[in-house]
Amino acid sequence: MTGRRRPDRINLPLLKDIMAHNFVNVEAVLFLNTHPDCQEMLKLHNQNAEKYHRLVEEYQRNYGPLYSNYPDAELPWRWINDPWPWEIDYRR
Amino acid sequence: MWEYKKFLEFPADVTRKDPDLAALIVTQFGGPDGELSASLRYLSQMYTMPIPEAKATLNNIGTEELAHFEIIGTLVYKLVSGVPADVIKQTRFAPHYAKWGRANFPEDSSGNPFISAFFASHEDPIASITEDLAAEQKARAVYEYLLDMTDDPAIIDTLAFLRQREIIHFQRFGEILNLLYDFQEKHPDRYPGF
Ligand SMILES: [Fe+2]
Repeated sequence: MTGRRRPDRINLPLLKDIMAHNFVNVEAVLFLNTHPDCQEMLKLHNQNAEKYHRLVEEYQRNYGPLYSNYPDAELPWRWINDPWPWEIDYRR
Repeated sequence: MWEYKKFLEFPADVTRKDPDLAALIVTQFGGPDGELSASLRYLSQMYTMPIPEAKATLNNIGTEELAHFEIIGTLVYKLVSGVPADVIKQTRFAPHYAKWGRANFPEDSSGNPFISAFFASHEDPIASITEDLAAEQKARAVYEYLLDMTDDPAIIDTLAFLRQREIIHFQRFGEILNLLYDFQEKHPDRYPGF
């Protein structure tokens, strides 16, 4: 099979929700690195990470992979599908 | 190792094509205080850090800067993709186009290519972390210069996000510097000159 493949259908609200939860843990991890005994931030980190992984699983099951090593991949191999992150219009 | 996530750290967008602005914003792609410079600086420095907090912080911030490199790449790409050559010809982006077309290339706003001489990586952890504090302030300042160059609300949102991250990184590196001074006091043998 050659030529153009059909782009993945994306779910922009869900994708943005995943991006937001990803960002919360980017921030929580940086904070915990210099405050390794902060109970409050640890709680936020764990709750947010759980939600993040649940949303990622939902997205990958229905709309295509966000990680190349995701469970239950199928053929045709979907990782290569458009759109890539720089091709998405986020202004909706 | 690193693993790619197929999404951006922030929903970077533009509301209109603007090759002139692309030629300026590219300075955060490959300029002296840009995101590639930041990322490689921290990811080079982390190996010889004497305390675990410093290794982790350099690793995580170096990784986040790589995500910022992608955000800037996205802005530049969106600002010029699909713009016809005869329009680009009238803009500041023309010299870039003559060399690279519309592809992204790590360079500053004058077209000078990225070089690792933009940053330092010292075994002396105080020297490195002090450099990192300055680097974060310089990056913040550049985002403020760039914010003065546009009225595009989507770009302003994105640059303001990146500016804010530099402030947070500065804060974290400040905490690391204090931890390093504590460490030196407890281990004067490891720092005979201190
Ligand atoms: Fe930074």
